Amino acid sequence: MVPLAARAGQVSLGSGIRRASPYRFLRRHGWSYLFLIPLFALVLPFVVYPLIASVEITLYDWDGIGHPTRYVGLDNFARVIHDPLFWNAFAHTFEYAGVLVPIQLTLALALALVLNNPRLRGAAVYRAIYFAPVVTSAALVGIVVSLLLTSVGQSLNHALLQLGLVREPVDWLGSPTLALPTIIAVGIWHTFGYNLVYFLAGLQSIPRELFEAAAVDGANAWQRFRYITVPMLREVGAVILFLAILGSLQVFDLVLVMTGGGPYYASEVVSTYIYRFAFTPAAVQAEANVGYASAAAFLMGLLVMGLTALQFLAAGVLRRQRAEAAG
Amino acid sequence: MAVSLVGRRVPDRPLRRLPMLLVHLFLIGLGFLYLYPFLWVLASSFKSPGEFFEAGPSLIPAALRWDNYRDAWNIGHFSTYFLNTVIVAVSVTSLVILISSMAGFVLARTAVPGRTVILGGMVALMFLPGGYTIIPTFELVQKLGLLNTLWAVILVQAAGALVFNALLFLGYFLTIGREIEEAARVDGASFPRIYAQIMLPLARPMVATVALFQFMTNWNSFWIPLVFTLGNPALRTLAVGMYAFVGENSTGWTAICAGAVMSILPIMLVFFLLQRHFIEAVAGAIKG
Amino acid sequence: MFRTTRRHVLRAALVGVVGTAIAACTRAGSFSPVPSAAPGSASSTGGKSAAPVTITHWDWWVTQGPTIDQEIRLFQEKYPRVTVRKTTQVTDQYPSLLQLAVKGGTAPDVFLIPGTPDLIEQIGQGWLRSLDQWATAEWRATFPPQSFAEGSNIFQGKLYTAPFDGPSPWLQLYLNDRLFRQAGLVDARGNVQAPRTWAEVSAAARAITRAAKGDAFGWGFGDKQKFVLPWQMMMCQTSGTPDAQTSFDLRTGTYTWASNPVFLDWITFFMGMKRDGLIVPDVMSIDDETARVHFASGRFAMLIGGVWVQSGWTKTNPNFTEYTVVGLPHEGPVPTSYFYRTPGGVGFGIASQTKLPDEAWLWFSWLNSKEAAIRWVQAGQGVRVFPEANKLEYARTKPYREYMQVALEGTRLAPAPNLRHPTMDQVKPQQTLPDIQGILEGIYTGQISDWKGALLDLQNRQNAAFAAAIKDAQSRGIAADPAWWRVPDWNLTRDYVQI
Repeated sequence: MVPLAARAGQVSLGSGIRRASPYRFLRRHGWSYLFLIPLFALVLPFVVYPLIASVEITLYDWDGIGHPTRYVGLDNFARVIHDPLFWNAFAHTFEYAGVLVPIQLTLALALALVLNNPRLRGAAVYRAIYFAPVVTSAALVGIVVSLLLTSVGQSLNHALLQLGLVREPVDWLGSPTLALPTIIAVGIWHTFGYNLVYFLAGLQSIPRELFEAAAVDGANAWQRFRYITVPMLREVGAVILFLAILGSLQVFDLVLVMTGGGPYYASEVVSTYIYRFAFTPAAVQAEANVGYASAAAFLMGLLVMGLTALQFLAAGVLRRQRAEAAG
Repeated sequence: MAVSLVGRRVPDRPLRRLPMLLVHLFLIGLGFLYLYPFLWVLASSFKSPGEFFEAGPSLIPAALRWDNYRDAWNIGHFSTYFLNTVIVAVSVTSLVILISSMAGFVLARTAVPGRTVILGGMVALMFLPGGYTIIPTFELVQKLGLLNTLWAVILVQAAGALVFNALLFLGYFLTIGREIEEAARVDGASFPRIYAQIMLPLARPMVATVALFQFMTNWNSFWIPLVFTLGNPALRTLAVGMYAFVGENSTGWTAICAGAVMSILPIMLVFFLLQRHFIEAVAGAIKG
Repeated sequence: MFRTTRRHVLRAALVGVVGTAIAACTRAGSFSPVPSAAPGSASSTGGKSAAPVTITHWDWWVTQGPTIDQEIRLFQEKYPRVTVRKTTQVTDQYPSLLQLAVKGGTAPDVFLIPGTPDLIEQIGQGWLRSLDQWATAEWRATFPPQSFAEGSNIFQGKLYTAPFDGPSPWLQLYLNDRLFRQAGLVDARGNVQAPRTWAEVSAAARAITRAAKGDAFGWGFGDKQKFVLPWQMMMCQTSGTPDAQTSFDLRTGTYTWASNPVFLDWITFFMGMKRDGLIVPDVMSIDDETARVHFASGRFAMLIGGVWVQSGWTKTNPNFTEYTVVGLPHEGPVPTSYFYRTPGGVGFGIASQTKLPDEAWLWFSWLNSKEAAIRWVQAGQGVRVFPEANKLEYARTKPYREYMQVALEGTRLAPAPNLRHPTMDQVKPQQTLPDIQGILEGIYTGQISDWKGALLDLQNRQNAAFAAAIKDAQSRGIAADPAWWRVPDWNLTRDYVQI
């Protein structure tokens, strides 16, 4: 047990003498608020304030220089909603997340279970390998993956041609049908390590005794997983899932470096769509419109929030129906 | 056939090792694939610029060229920027761990009035984009008088990571059983004590995880450090220094690889050493 | 356990203290190992002080970096009192960074002027300082005629910059000599027979691909970053359009993707080459840099690129010297249009915030001097605005001499109505997608089958955006007459005489 210094008379009495409200309020919740203050102190000025400013920018056409002056009201939102390429990007974004998250999280959880096994010798070494910072700068990851993919793709094409499975070499990133799946495959690799490690951390919070007791009681591996691991992981697993979905909806660097959203917008995701308008890439002779880009980004955020809220509502309704049916 | 002490038949030792061996092979193979891009970067740091594009997936450079390392060190101002990067990364990581675990603890464990609103706000922040211009933040930092200091870099980067990690800690703390905490509260422990001496140690795996990833993200972050040290290039970080090699039409990839290797190796060493400490302490924490 | 948690808190506190200390030191400027322009070390009002000073220089030049570094060395030898501290910034974010530096009061003393935003907007934002006090008529006379023009580098009578690069076709055609020889495409003296027309390109590509028997192709490029397909279409620039990048034709004042047949002709020609297997198969998956290396290794024989590719090969393929440079091929037997230049030109500028204007001018005028220009050309970085610097004998390699020949013959003067009507630059059409990059991609991969329809749709959309932009400008009180964009008497094959 944790040694603690005893404190005199801190036991609260439940019902008792009513003190003045603010004093009791502070007494009960003071520490909580105090602990929250640092978060607010940093998040409010450096996250919330720029967010509010960017919402204001959505009402202007602005090239990013100086201050916004050309007010257009909700015009940007209207243009975004009417742009079929935005919805094209939207669909691809959800396709990306929808395929990547289930596959990657399942694999990550599976590997985490393997690595968490106390009988695995040298687990520390493996953990060190998978802990190893394979994260290098975004510019580097992009070019490394691209070049490797090109060479691997070439070798793969050789093999496929030899085997007679294809008549001509496959242009992996240049094919409208294969570009997005290729990016998804690379995406699964790229962020796999993060989720593996998060799951490992979550698994390590489950007391070992529970597993040992269940094993003694005769539970097999699958039963142990289903009745101990899954319930114990529920909360942290939910957060990991939520963050993984949100993260994959915001995929950007990978797509930009591998295909730039092409060919012909076949792998365009919302973040690359926005990038086209937010910045003036030196090669394209068009003007940046940060206002339009911000509007598209904000709209995307609202749409995803709305979809998530709908899902929760639907789940809640289903649960209530099931409870009523059962009860 | 060997017979165990309880009289059951068990297969011979070598055969019993087989499944374990397969698992090990699989893990080593997977580990190699996982590390492969990094190994390739390591190999490429010794390649010549032409070899970089031509040699394909090869992990063996034609010769050990140290030029790339020399260029990365000199042109990338490695020695100066390394110190800056360490300061920024360590500061941001410490701040993030401290603040987001504090917030995660409160939101997971106490029925603070306004909890739903705060949680809702944090979740909403995860959905909404931060904006595509740095100007509002820049002007704010300028008003605070922190422009061209490392403080600006530290605070802005820490702020950006707080909500994400607070949610992670929230999830983690929700998972931890209440018994120990209740016992401590009955014993009369104060709020900060419970946090510091019980919850934080119990959350060590998550702390280690957040520390690792936050550190790495910061180590490689480029835009914020660049923008807030524009007027004082001596304060730049390694990632910014590496961008000296990114040109309009061509990029010094091999030098960037050398720079990446040089900047990652010290961290890998530190983590490998610390990692054992974390794992031992984790075993201790859970048992207790 | 107690120790460890304490450690967290202690660590954070320690970092806080150290961080504050360092932050305090750095703000005072005493930490930086590089000499900074500390206040009080130079006078900013007239008269040169005797104390050593440092001026800051920004550009985005990585390949040209060593040449600039050399200039800095020579400059500092001549003026030991002045140190130039150069920073090479990332190209893509350069305008944002410049803006932020100005906002933060730390603008670089001398900087390369970015293409966006418009120069007049940069001046309006207070980025630039007028050069009139030093740029005397005598100094300006060292430049060729029409180097300074109101609306280009002079605004409201004040001069802000001087042209740096010389006029040149910024893209050329590169030929791999070995592959051409292998296909027998050499003349009696052993020189490569360069294709001058599109038909000759097809024929050469066919011969080369056949001769290489699958090991190499006639044509190649790397379009991963999306702007390289439009570079291929720049072959239209010599075939009857004044602007093959945007299709905007000053003779009609409209976009002409569909109304000018050259674009569809080129697409037909290029897709013919693809259909016949004359182009490298994985062009959409590799980027331009990789494609250049592949060209140097002999994977394909014809490449479109700019002068930068040559210095690139000295690094990636130092043994590769057997290549030829020619101008872009044209559709017909002779070029019917050229690359165009307009009076004036933009190069470096001096920040209005500079505390060392005289020293900044010293460096600025050094960079823009004829001697520096000669060294620039000799270093193989391109042609400069001074004809005296662009002498063929300064070329150190055969391909570079060929490049210079292409450069010096390949441009004509174009009309520049925005010099007379400066408000023209405030009419900014909105971007519409898909743009020509996307459409070319779609055509190349087969996603778009109605080529003419796609071009017509793009043209209509861009013309509509242009008309909307004019109306928008008019509604904001900016005079904008569509007639200003029409110069019907422009002969594309001759220098246009601005009245």
